[in-house]
Amino acid sequence: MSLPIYPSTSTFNIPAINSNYRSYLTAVVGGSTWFCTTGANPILATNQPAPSTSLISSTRLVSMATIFQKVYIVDGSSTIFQANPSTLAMETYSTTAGTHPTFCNLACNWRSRLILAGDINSPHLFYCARLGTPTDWDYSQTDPASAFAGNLSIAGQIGEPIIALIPYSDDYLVVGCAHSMWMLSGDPADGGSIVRISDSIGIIGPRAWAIDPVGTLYFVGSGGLYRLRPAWEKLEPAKNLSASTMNRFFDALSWNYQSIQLVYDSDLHYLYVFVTPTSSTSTGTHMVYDARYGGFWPQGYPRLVGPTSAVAFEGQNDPNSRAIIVGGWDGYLRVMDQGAFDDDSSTVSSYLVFGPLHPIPMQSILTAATVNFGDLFLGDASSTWNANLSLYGGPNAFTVTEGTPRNSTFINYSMDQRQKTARQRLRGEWFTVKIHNSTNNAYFSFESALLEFEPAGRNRERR
Amino acid sequence: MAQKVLPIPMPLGGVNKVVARERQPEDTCWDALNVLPFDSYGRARVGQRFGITKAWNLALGSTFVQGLLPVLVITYPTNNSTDGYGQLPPIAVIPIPSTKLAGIVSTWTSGGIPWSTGTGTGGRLSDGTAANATRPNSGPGGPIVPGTGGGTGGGGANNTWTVTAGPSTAGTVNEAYAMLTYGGSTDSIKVKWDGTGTGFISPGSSTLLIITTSSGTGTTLLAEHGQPGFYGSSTQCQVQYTVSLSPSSTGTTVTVTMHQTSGNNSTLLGTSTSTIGTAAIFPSPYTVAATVFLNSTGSAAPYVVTLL
Repeated sequence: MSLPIYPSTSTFNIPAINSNYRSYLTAVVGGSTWFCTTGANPILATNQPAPSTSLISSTRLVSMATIFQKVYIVDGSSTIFQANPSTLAMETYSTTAGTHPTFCNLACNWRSRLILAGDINSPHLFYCARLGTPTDWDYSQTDPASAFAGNLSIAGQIGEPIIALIPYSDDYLVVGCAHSMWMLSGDPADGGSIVRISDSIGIIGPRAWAIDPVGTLYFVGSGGLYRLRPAWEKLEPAKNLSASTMNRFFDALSWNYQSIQLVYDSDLHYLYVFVTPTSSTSTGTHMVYDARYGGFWPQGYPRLVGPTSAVAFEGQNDPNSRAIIVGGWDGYLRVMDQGAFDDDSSTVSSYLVFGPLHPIPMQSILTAATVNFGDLFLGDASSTWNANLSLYGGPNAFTVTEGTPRNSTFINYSMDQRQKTARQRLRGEWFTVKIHNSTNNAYFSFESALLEFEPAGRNRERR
Repeated sequence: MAQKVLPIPMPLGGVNKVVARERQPEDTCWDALNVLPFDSYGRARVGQRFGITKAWNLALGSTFVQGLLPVLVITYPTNNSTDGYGQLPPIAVIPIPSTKLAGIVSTWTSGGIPWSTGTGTGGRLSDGTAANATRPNSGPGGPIVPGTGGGTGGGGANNTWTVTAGPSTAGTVNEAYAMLTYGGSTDSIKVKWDGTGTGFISPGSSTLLIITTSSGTGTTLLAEHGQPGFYGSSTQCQVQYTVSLSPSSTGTTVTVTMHQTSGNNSTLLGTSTSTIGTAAIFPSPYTVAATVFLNSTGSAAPYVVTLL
C-alpha cells in the first residue's frame, strides 16, 4: 500500500464532478483541524476557533467521532468542537436540548448517537446523545431515541473509570474500563441491555483496540494482547495472544508513560501495536502481530515518526489509496510504504537472531554456515540489497544471548552471494546467529540456513 | 562424535521471549527488530520491513498529531446546477488564501469544472443554446450542460458563493473565489444574469460589468457596465460566462473580482487571476464556460461579481 506524495506547492483540487463521494482524513494538529484527501495537499479547516476562546487543546490527544458528515472532537475541555468536511470548515457546536457533557476525552458514534465519556469529574459515566441528533442531550425524554447516560457496574456499585469506547457495530458498543469490559447490546433506551464481558480484563488505553475485517476485536488489556468476538451470534471469548510468546512486553506497558494504539492492516494482515512514549524525546518499541502465523515482531521507528496517532485510511475506493497512516511528533502524516526501504530518509536497522543453539552436548566448532537469503525480484538493484551475518559462540546460552559472547565472526554478503557458504571456524558450546542490515535504502530477506559443527572435546572453560 | 549439521528454518512464528533459552521453538527466533514474516513482495520469507514515507509533503503544524479520523462525505449539486453537474470534468479551484479566512462572504458550497475534450459543440445552456452563443435578451437561464457531437469542446463550472452578512458590515471579506484555471481573450466573455428577461449581456470588451443581486424568480436588477450595483432583497445572483480560446490562449488569464457595494460606492474586495494551462489543449475553436452563483441570506444583498 502506498499513497502518492503531493508536494507542498500542489493546488487544492476540489474532487472531480462525479466524485461527490469523497473520503477525507480528519487530522488535529496543534489544536487545528485539517482535512486530507488523496490527490491534494491537506486543507486547513476554515473558521478555526480563536485561540483566546475555545481552541482545541494543542497538548492533548483528542478523540473524534463522525455522525452525518460532521466531525465531533473532544479534548477533555468543556467544549465539544465540530468540523464539517463538506465545507472544510469548523462550526460552532450548539446543543438543541439539554446540556452537553463537559470535560470528556472519549467520543464515538454508535447507532448515530454521539457517545461521550472520560469526564474527569465523573469518569465512570458515559453519555449518549439522542439517536440521530448529536446536539440533543435532554435525558428527561423517554422515547426510544432519547438521550441517556449511565455507568457500568454490578448492582449497588460505582462503575470503574471508562477507558475506551469501541463501537463494534450498530448493535454492540464495547466499553473498556481499567479492569473490566462491558458491552451495550442493543439500545438501552429501546430495550437493550448492558452485559459484562469480563470482570478482570480491562483495556490499557482509549486507542488500544482495533477490529479486523471479519469482526475480530483486538485490544491490549491487563496481561497482554487479546482477541475477542463480542457479538453473540459469533461469540468468541477473550483469548490472550501474547501470554506464551511476548508476555513481558505487554505486562510492562504503562499507559501513564506510553500511548498505545492498535491499527489493523487488512491487506497485509498485520496488527500494529504502536507503543509511543508520552515524552517526545523517547523512542518507542512497537510490535506487529502477524495474524496469519500468530507471531510477534518488534519494530522501531525514528523518534519523530512516533506515531502519536495512527489510522487505517481508505481513500478513493482504490487499493492504492488504502494505507496505514501515522502522525508524528513533527506534525507530518506518513504512510507505511511497501515501496520504501528507509523511514523518511532514516535508515532502517534490522536484525534476526537465531538460537541459542546447542548442537552437541560438548564443545564444538562451527565450521561452515550456509545461508539462503532467497531470490531477488525483477528490478531489484544490487544497491537495494545487503545482509550481514554475525556468528557468536560461548560456553552457555546466556553468553550468546543477553551476555557477552566469547567468540564471534562477521561476514558481509553482497547480492550475488545470497547462497554462499562461509567457512569461518568458531569455537563454543552454545551459538547464536545474527542476520542484520544497517545499510540505508537496502533490505534483506531470509529463507533458511545450515550450520555445520564438528566436536571439539569437553568444555574446558571454568564456569 | 561425528559432524553435525543443524538446519535453521524460517522463523515464521516470530519472536518468542517466554520460553527457556534452551527450548526456543523451531519456527521462532529469540530476538528481532524491524523484520516481518512477509517480504515487500508478499512472499512468506522473513525479511526487513518496508519503510515509511510522507503521505503528504506538508507538515500540519510544528507539534504532534493529536488525532486522526477517516470521514466519508457525499456532496450533491447545489441549486441551479443539476443539469450540468456531474457530467463534466472537474475545474481546478484555487485554495482560499489562509490570510483571508475571516469575513463576510463565508463559503463556497460547490465547485465544478469545465473542460471536456473536443467532442461536442461546446458547453450548452439548459435551453440548448451553446454556452458561447450570443443570446437574446430574453429566455431562460440555467446551468451549462455538456455538448455533443464533434467539433469543439466545452464545459461548465458551477460554484456557489454564500453571503452571510449585509454589505454594511465592516471588516475583511473571505475571498473564496472560484476561478477558472484557464484564460481567454477577455472581449469574448459573455455574462448572463439568472433572472428573467435579461439574457446575455455582452460587455463587448474587457469593460467592467457589474451585476447586482436579485431574486431568483423576481425582477431582475441589472446594472450597466461600470456602474455600481443596486440594492435589493436578493437571494441569488448568477453570472454565467463563456470564453473562447485558442491554442495561443495558453498562458493568458481570466480574472474574477468580487465587489461589495455600499450606497453608490463599490469596494473591490479581491481579485483572483488564473492562467490557462497547457493541459487545456483542445481542438480549435473551443470554449469554456463557467457559472458563479452568488447567494445571499437574510438582508444581505448587494454583492457584485465583476468579470474582467
